[in-house]
Amino acid sequence: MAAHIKSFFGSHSLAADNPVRHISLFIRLFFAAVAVTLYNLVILYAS
Amino acid sequence: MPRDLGSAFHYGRDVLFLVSSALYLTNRFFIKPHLSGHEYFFHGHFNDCLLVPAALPLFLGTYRALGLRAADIPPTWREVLAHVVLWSFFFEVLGPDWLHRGTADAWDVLCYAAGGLAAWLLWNRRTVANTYFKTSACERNMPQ
Repeated sequence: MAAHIKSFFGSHSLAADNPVRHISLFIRLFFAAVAVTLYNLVILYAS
Repeated sequence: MPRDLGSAFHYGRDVLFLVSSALYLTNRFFIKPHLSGHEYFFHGHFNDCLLVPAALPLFLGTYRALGLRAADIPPTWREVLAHVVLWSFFFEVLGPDWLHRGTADAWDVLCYAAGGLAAWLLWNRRTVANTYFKTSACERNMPQ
């Protein structure tokens, strides 16, 4: 599952200078989902 | 498809993103308020066409910051398509039905897709040109 997700995002190897590389993939996906939801709500209510 | 690694994507500093955002805000705050409610394109669809070029770089920049995007390459067709599907569901189903905000309109989905296709072509113009026009360029250089 994780490999499929990484493959979709093109993230086979994380950048060496990435400060959050030690955080697990699923926690980063959680933060991404939160950010996407917030962005979408801003677009929805601002338009 | 071979990717041109020389064309880095600049997310919030991308020219297409900046132009699209400026057009989006101009329409939202200066054009729409001065048009009658019967006007169709600028009220209903202009900003929908700009959604992908004006919003996708911010989303991809967030994924990059979170380490979910490996390289600063232009948006791929899969990224564009996934976000068109996501936004179609969010703005045309969740928004009107659950949040009672906005109106469900199939034409909006078409605008998202058309804007996404145009933006993808502009972001990947080097790759597209190299892929689809390489043969004719080789033929032009062949000795007669």
